[in-house]
Amino acid sequence: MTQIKDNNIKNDFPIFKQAKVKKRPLVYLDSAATSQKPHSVINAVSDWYERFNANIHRGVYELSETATKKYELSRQVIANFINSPSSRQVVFTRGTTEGINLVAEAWARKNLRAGDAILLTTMEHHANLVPWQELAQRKRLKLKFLEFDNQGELILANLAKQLMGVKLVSLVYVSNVLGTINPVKKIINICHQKKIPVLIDAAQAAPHLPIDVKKLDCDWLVFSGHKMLGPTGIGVLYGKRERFEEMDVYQTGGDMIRNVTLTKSTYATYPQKFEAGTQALAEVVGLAEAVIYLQAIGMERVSSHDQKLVTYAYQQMKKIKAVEIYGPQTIKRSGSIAFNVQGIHAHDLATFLADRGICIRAGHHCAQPLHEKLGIPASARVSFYIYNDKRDVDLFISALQAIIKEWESIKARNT
Amino acid sequence: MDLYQQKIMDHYLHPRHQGKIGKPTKKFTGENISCGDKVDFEVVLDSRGKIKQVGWQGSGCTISQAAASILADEMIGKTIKQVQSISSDKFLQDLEVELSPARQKCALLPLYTVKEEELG
Ligand SMILES: Cc1ncc(COP(=O)(O)O)c(C=O)c1O
Repeated sequence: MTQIKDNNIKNDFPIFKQAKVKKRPLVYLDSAATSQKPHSVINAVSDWYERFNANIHRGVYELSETATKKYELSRQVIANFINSPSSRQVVFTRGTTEGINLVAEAWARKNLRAGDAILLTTMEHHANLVPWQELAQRKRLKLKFLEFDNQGELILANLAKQLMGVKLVSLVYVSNVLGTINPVKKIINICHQKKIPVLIDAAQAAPHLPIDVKKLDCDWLVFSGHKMLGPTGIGVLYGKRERFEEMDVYQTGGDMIRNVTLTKSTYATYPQKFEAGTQALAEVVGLAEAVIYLQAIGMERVSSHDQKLVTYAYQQMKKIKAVEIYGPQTIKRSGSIAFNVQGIHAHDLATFLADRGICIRAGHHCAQPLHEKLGIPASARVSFYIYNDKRDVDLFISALQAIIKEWESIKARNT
Repeated sequence: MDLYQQKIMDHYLHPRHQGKIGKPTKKFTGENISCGDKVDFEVVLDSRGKIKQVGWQGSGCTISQAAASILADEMIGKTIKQVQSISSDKFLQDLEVELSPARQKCALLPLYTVKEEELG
């Protein structure tokens, strides 16, 4: 039996002291949707407005200079976090969704030709599917898909063959439904042998796993701040220099220019080139604070805590006969468990759990094609993070058992 | 612990008017895209335009399916116009269950299907 050390991490998150659900403490098992925020992040954001707020890059007065410094320092913090060779390769976005749209607009639209193919997988979040559909339609590109097996793992046997005609691969690092940790390093290697660039959707990976873009050798990597203790509305696009140099502008306007005349403009180089307009300054600083918080714990420890909780929950859920779990064994899984209870629709289950103060998510989790492949309209999902502990899992499991029992007895009484 | 109130469970476990009917006068189909719940209604009208027979089919959560059964009960003897003029508030009351805003969408799927309106 795995040991899950008790810790005081929950105390760092004010919401667990404030929020009560029907007079019960909050059992939050929906971190894959968005994470809670520690004191330090909340303080960094309010501190920004109370002590540092000024627009960056143009001011000559001290407040603006300090603001610019803090902003660029935050970029460096993020660069270190993912082991980016330089902070210039870190672009701030609104989140994973915008990061993918940026690459689609600024790189793929410019560099792909009619008939070229983009390879995705059938387990993508809509954020890594719809932008490519839209681009494919406009540019007459083909979309191809890597399938997954009944363990929820990508089938790579024919990858080399499937790469015929492919000019870009974009895939999810950790599935937000199945929890599968995909072998992205191996896939990137194979793609690079054929000189195909690879974009990694790390929305669910960055919160849970140590990320090293140099080791991965990915061409782009995107993630969202709000899933890793940071504020909403801020995310990151990492890119290789060569790729950034091949890219067109994305949005245009202030801050991303070098020189502007009435008829023509020249543009700044990256990262500013991709950061048009006033950025989400307080959120950038908040995200850097979130990274500092995670680094203080250590991503190895974050990941092993996660692994232990998922394993414990998985084992407990497996003991309940009516529960069907999707996705791989726990060793190849991170963060979340999607499941259904026989005879109880996922939405009903989520409602019954909500009545007991337990927050889970039910639906297609922005992955409709994935659910179609599994042959189910919806699933329930529990997901964990550093502030969750064994007690959260125990409360969830006992609520689940009680609900199933109650449901069975209502059915028995009514027949 | 309560799951859902008796009326919902009763209609869910013993659905009324479920199934296809012969020679329907009119059909309605509805789906809640965000969660995959589906319902179809078929009705037969009498000479005065009143619903004399209704049959529904569907799949989804307890709330949407029980609501279809409850609505089917209410449809008998009314004109289609009369059914379409049932307000959301009135119908939610008829279900005798307290629902969060997200789950009210499940509950209103059958009514909106007959209203031939998008669930907002
Ligand atoms: C795997 C994956 N990709 C992309 C996204 C989209 O992230 P955001 O909504 O923060 O842009 C999510 C968030 O749910 C996700 O889980």
